[in-house]
Amino acid sequence: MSGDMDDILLVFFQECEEQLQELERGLSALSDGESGKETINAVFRAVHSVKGGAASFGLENLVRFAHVFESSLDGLRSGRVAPTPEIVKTFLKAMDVLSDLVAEAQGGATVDTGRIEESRVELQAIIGEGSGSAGPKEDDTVPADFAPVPVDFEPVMADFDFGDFGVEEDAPADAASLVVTFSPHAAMYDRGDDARNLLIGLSDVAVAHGGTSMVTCETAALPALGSLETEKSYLSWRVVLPAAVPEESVHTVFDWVSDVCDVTITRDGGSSPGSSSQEEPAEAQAALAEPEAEPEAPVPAAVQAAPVQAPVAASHARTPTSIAEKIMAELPPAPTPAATAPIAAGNTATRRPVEQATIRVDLHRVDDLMDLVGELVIAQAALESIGQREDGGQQEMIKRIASMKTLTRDIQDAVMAVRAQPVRSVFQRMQRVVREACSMTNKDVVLTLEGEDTEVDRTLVEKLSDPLTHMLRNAVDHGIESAETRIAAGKPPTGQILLSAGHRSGRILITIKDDGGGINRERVLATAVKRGIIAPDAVLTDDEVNNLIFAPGFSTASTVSDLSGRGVGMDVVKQAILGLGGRVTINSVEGQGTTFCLSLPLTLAVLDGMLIVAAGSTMVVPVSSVVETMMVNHKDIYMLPDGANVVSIRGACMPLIPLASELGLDGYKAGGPSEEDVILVVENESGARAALIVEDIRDQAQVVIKSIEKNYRQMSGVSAATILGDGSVSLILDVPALVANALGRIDTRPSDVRTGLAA
Amino acid sequence: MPAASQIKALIVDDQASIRQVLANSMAEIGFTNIAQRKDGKEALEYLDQNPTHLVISDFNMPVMDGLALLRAVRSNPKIQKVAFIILTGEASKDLVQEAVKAGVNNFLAKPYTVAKLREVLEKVFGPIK
Repeated sequence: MSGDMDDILLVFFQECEEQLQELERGLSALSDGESGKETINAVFRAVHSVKGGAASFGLENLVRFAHVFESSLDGLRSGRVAPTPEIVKTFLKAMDVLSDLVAEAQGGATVDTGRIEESRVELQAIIGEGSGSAGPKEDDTVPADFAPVPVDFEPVMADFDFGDFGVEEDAPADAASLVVTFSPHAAMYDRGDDARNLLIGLSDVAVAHGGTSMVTCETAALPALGSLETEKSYLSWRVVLPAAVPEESVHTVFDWVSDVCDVTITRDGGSSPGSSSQEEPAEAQAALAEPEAEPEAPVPAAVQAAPVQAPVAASHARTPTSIAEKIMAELPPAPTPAATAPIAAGNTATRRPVEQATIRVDLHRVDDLMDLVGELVIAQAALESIGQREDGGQQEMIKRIASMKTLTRDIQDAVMAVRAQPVRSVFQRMQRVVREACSMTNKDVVLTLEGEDTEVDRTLVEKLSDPLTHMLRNAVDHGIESAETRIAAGKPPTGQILLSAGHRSGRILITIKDDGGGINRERVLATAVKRGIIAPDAVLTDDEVNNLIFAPGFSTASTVSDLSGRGVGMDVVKQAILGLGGRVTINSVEGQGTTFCLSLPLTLAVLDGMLIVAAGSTMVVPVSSVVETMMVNHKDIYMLPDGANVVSIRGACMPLIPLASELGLDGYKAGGPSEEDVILVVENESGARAALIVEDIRDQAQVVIKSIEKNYRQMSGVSAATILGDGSVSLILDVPALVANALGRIDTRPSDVRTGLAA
Repeated sequence: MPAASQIKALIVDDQASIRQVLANSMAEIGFTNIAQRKDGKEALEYLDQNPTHLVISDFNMPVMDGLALLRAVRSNPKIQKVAFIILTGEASKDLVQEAVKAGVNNFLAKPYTVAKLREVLEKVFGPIK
């Protein structure tokens, strides 16, 4: 049971997550001035559901706050309160508190009681003002304004006895006759089948079960004689069979024509006349006759004995009694946690932290996968049969393997689709980030989301949250100017940030675009020089200056602000994005704003790799980091005084790294690269380039990433491993790390100003 | 006196966790035949195909709420006799009156205990074995 409960609790938290998203959506719609009934109901329902669930699980803090929140929203729902911007803001704040309380219930950080209290007071103020009349005095233990509603209600006995459906669980015994309707298509007649045969068949079935069939012919579709086409089918039939007939025997009758005939089989309702018993079980009467004091009911008024029948049963003997005569506070008010021991009370100690272990998947995606697996089984059988052939079946084998390849690719895509998740959840969280950033910096910024339905692998979705949070805080803090500055610059006082996602050539592209002041390059340059990030005499392109903000320890804000100036700004973002196999680029126009583009792989499980050979062993370089490949040309290679080589490619010098020796492998020939070797120009994320010398390029293939840390330990320059087609293990190279290592040793500054960036 | 295992029940709630908690509680009482649906529309589709004695439905649901479901059930001769209990967290007087008018059999307030659930059910079915 406890195991069950834990699982249910997990489901509940997952639902909370969904409800909070729903709430967020609704409130954003409200703040956009869209206050339709549907929106308000959705918002209300979201909070209500969280509360209801929390009550069942004994999550008291959550229930108490959700209750106050719900009450204020009820004011909105009933029209007593109008959704003014201030009120929506209060709701948004309450939503943040609520979502923190949900996190707390999951074992997250405890929520500051001051914040809860503050939000609670604000929420109560809303209905206080709105309703004019003060609600019942608030009390710390009992949620306010939830006075017991005296309910004029007496439970109504169900009006049937259990003979109706029989004691036999599976037999719908209540003479529920089987109704078969069928309408043949013209094709059935074309095939030489006749409706008459079907009717005879059904009639036989009826007789076999000791009854008869009742046949009605439906002629409504029949046109006038003049327009009747003899080739067409117009008639359909309705046949009522005795209840004893099992559906299977009907199916047998239609077996041969099921593809050319529409058949429906239904059991006619269990309420056929005369079958319902009007007898009340005597015990039931007795139960009703006994006035019972409700232990929890605050107003345990005497319950009078006269049983009330459901309106549907009004035709039966007993008189419906006016409900209003009975008072029974059957509904206890409130989630007063002490009053009713919640079912899960003993369970709260075993709450698990946030990690979500289940996903919800569209059924059709699973079906697609299933179809493909079916194909796989067939393909396997085909291969097996070839193996048994006398002639070896070479040609056939090659053909089959080719189709197997396609199939594998399809299955891979299908599984990816199962794991895919829209970025919506992360994006919506960003609304809150921006909201909080705004209130801390006293700015007014609207965050617009686009492409929230873009799907990426779920691991990636989760890992996007931190970098995006940082970048958006930065955008509010440093990107958007203060209202005065904006007005002076002729812009509207409210800043705009656009967060959008979309697919582009097998990657996901996320852009964060603000309409702020843009990057002040002079200040960035000055700061970078001051911090020793670049040499004072360095000449940098605009792009390179922009990229300086990603350098470790860089901060342009004149005062370190509470928000983003914690010294762990954009370089951390950059590292995180790189860690996901992504790239960041900046585009900034002074006075008009800055755009950050993140380009990320769709999945972390598979990558496009270039299979290369170094020191005789095959390794994988991610295709995304290879800029170009070329043959070695000795006249472009220069040796520096320290013995390192650089290569000049179209005028740009870059370190020449023999991959084998960089990795500490023996096989590398002394005497520099030979003409047979291949140069891979690779680029790390800051755009710093290096040339890797490898012996050969063997192939380009999709490789499955296997973590090396899990099985061995982390190695510099190697990000993971994979298993190749021949079963051998191959290393996947961490190109940025390799380049950084190489650049750390070779100073290319004299010949190329792109420096420092990769440090 | 019906045995709990005789009663074919349907739980309607948009939250899977709530449904599961209720189903567990009902199983403790002895119910063996419990179906679950997530909104009124799906519940109607289920009821149309499956003989059912008891519906316990949440009130506030998307697509079709508990009250609408109740009304739809009561106006469909085929299924109108089913016992209907509304599961609710809010004791709004209007709602209660509307539900009573529509022919609800009883209410079950959240949160509830197994004993409370039994009591609510017995008010409708008589003592349950």
